[in-house]
Amino acid sequence: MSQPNHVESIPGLHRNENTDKTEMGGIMGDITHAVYPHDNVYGDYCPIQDYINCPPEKVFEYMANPHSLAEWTYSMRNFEKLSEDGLFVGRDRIGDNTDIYFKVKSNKEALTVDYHCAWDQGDDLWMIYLNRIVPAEVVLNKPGSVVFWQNCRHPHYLKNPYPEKSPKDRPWVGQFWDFFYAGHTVELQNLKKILEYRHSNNLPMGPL
Amino acid sequence: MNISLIDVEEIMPKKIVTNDYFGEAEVRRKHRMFTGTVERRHMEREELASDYFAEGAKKLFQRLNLNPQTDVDMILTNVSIPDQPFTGCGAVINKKIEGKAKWIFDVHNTGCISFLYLVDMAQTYMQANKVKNALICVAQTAAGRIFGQEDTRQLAQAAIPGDGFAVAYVTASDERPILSMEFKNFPEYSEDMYAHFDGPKWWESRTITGRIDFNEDKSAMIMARGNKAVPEMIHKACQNIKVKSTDISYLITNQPNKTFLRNWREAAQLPPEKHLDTFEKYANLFGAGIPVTLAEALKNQKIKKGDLVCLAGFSHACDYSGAALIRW
Repeated sequence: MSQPNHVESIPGLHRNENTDKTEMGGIMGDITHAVYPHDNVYGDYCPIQDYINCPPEKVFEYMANPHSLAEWTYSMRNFEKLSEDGLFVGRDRIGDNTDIYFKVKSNKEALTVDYHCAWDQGDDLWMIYLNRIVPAEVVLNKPGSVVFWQNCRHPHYLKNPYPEKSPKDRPWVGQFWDFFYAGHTVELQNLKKILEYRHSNNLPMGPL
Repeated sequence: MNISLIDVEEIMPKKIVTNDYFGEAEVRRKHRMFTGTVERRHMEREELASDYFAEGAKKLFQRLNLNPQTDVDMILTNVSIPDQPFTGCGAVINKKIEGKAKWIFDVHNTGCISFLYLVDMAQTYMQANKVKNALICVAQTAAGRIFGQEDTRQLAQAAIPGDGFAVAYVTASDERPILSMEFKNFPEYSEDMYAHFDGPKWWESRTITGRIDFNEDKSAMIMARGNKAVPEMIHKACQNIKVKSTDISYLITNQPNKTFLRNWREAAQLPPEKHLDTFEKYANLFGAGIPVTLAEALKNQKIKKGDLVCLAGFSHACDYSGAALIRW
């Protein structure tokens, strides 16, 4: 008799012990489509990634510097430090008259750089941009870095939690969720081009 | 000059074979490549593809008021397991319809999309002014001949094929023009499906039945190939005449399994009712699948004048892919 916490007691698992290769092949065939609707891929999570021809340490250092965001993002500008624990405020020019509050939380050992942000207020930083830098040497067998950037669709994207703090008649950030893939792709390309340009020309990495 | 697909006739064997005829049901249930079919037809041991074709051709002659002596310049055939290994059946058909066709080709490749390739061959001869009209005869005969035997019918893949026959009449005219055709050959996949014979070579004395095999290790790869290859052809055929895949009135593909049907329909962004098939009742008809489904759609008066019909698919383990667009 297996214990209640044993993996065999958990229903719905497919492991080679209970699912032979033929059945597994069928399951995989069902899951594999020729095309996938946008919503299936970017509905609740928005993952993007790219290769950057620049060493991981330099990529990390640049991404972990809050002021870099004013270079590679499409619309975050004019930063001002609000507190010693790293809270900044800036202007997000995709919204009219919009303040964006943010903190950069990074881990040099893990090569992760997370941006915790919110529009209109800095007490509840619920828009979280997760980034992981991986040495391309290990995963692609070439110098440089791979950057994985992910967002999760927090419920606040659907409904502004602090409408009283918002400028009148301004569209809510969550209305743009379906364009996050495209918008973030453009920004990741900016990041890639800046880092590759400065690295390949032996220039200071910035931000300037 | 355009080639027009004037009419198609299907001729199905009478013998109906249901799923319980085959080996262990559990194997088929798990192997989803093979599920979704309720029944299929098997031709009998003594029956000949040439007889089925002659029967279908005679129905076409009657319906279209044609004279086989003067209205058939060319006969093109594809029979998966041929009546005769050496001579082909085109000339036999010419004899059985009492025709006088001068150009006859028995083509043995391009399997599931042989109908499209044969139409393209006919068009090439028409453009060279050698022929004005042609009979295109496509048959799938592996079900009864290969998988209707005691030993082979226990195999997991035995339930896949069904037998079926189709004869189409094409002419050099603008009546029902084929507006666009696209083809591609993948040499790298040309040896992944094969006739398999344990022991002696297939032409040597033997006691074990041969069979048709896919390379089992590559079945997932073949799914991935088909997922890409068929949508690529559909979209290219559409681009040629500057239409979108969503402009297609009806899509008819080869019919290997339900997953492919779903994936191709999704890739063409078409609703299920615009993707026609006969998979549940006739199983995988291989090359005959496209013309048989087309013949049924015409009989049911589904396809109307002005409709844009797309025929598309891939053959074997994806050695050939192709698509055609016809303005009905």
